Amino acid sequence: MEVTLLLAAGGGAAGLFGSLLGLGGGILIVPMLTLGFGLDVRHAVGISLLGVVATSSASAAVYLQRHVARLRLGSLLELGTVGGAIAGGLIAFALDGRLIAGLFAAMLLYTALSMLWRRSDGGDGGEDGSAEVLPETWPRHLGGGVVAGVVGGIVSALLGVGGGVVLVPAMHLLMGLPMRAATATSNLMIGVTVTASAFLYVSRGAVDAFVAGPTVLGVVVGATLGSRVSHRIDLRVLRLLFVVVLCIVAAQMAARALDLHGIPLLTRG
Amino acid sequence: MADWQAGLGGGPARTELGLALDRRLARLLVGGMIVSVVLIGVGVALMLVAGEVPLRNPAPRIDLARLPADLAALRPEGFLWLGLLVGLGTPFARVLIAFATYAAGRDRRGALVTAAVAGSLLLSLALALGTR
Repeated sequence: MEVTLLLAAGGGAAGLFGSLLGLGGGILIVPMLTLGFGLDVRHAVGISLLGVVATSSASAAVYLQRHVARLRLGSLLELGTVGGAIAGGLIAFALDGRLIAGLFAAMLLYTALSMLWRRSDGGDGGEDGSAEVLPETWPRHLGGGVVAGVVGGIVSALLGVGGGVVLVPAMHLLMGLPMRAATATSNLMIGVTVTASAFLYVSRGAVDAFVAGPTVLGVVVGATLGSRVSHRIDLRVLRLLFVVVLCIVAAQMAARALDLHGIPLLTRG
Repeated sequence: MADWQAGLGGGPARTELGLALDRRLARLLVGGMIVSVVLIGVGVALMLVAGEVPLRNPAPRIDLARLPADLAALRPEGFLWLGLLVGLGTPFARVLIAFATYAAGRDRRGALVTAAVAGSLLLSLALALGTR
């Protein structure tokens, strides 16, 4: 019973902080399951993908209701992300788990640096109404967007994250989509993208329902709570603290990649 | 082409069909997520009641043929798997409904793109089932 509740609590924390900091839960679920519960990194990625689907469905619904997400553009780019996710899902089972852990550590470090950069840049941007004004010449570089979608799909399937880390900058910087619309459209695409690779993880036995159930439940509850309280919390200090946490977790994932990892909190018995 | 590009942006030229589709898909996603979470919640509650321990080695694999029997017997794994599969099926259903709406509205480009996405998802499902 304790392990079930710990998994739910861990998932809840991942969902809560992922939602508060705009990171998505995936980036926190994988380290939690590998470093905290001793899961093989591929099993952690498989479970993380299921958590990502659940949270992306909820947030995509809000964005669609507000007509911020671009369904047609998302559908077009999904051709790339789904292709990438299938390729990534197949590649993931051919790679050594230590390499995946190493890639994950690199992504954590990149995310930490991005958070620092956004902070010095004056915040997230794009949340104000002005971000909704569409440039006249867009969408630019549609082909480039599809290619970025393929990369985003591969990253998502390999590391158990939504792929927004690639998709949002591609839509915003490359295609000229306003930041808020890029975030909303990325959220919409994530569900379909992740589903494509999750099929592969589930069918190959990389998802344990007894671990996934409590974790996904916790993630959904945490993410829902986070979306409700985010406007009441000063995120500046939290963001800075989280940069430190991400760097520590990145170091631990890197240690795992180099086979230097210590004893996890709980292990398979 | 101009219509399609405007639709891609979802800007000023967004059609009533597109706005109605947004609302319909939003309801579908919320509904699917609620059903999924409720099923998973029941599964977790049954896990706690039955004293099921996670992190067993090896991890139990999905067995679709056993799913109805597991549900009928109120075994936690049946509810957990069904909830997780509903979660995965929801974005897939979103693509199918978008396709059906575009096709019914004679929006050929929209129908073609969403059909291709649905086809890609079916390919991933076929690969998953074929390479177990």
